[in-house]
Amino acid sequence: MTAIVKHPGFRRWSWLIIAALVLASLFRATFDAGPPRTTEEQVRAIGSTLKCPTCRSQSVSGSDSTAAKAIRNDITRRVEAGESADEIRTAIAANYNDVQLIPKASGFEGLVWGLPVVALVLGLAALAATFARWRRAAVREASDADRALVEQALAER
Amino acid sequence: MTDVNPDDVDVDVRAGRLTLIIASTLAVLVALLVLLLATRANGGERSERSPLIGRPAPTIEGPTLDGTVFDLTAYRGRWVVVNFFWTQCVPCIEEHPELVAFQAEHATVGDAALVSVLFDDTIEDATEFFDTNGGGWPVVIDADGGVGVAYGVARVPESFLVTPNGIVVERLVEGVTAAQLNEIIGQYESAAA
Repeated sequence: MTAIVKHPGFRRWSWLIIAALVLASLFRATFDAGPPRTTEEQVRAIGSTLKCPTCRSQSVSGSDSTAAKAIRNDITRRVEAGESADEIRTAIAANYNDVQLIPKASGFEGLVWGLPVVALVLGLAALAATFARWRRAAVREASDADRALVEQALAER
Repeated sequence: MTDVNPDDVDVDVRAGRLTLIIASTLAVLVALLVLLLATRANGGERSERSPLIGRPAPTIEGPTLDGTVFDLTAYRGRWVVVNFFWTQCVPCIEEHPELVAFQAEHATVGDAALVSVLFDDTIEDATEFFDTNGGGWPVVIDADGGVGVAYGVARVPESFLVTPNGIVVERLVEGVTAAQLNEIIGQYESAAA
């Protein structure tokens, strides 16, 4: 049987490559807007970030309520007038109570964005600390006293 | 008994303490996140709050059932009740006689006016409703729902009280009565006097 000899840095590099691929995928999914979209697609995208004011768990895009239909009409009119998605969201949110589905990035609500990141970093730090402790425990060698104790126990059998 | 290296004990104690600190911090963060999400306003709640309160009343300019063009700015100097309704909604039907009474009471004095805005209703249904139930005030046809969105209307009936200088001061949901409207107007006029 042929033994596979791995370079000492192989494992570390493979982890780095995986991390880079994950980060690149996240970046692309987050920031790549894609090709220019139709008015209907833009209306659907903006409507999906606004809460239907008369529904429990539906967005403006997902509801057939009168209020949601009226808001979709308003979004269409504003998209055709050349307003940006942020401008449209702000204008509509100014008329209703709490219709923004995406929490604000500032103020107390901004914690929703920051807390999971902090929790992730702390969780990774905890894992790293635990693994490091396990590694130290694994390489710990028996002392002379330990060996003597084992020999004594064997002799007494 | 074995000799234990004091350095190993120190490392273990430090690592255990670090893990405890990180776990405690994580627990606090998760608790904060839960608190934050739990205290966000519920979209299903019916509320009398409105971001419009204290702001100039959004423009209402458009065709009415009787074929004229309504312009809210022409009503400056009078209190205006802007009423959003749908002919098939029970609270709207129950509210209607109160609006008729309010309009009749203020029509001669001219200190307050009423305007209704159709909320996803047909012109035919609305015309028949007013022919049957009375009400001689302007009824604006909001074909694309733009006026409803400008006022942040969620579900009807909803009424907004606009001051003589064009500021929204009240949002009233689930129907109004003539006495309620008169009382609110009286309170504002007393406060201004």
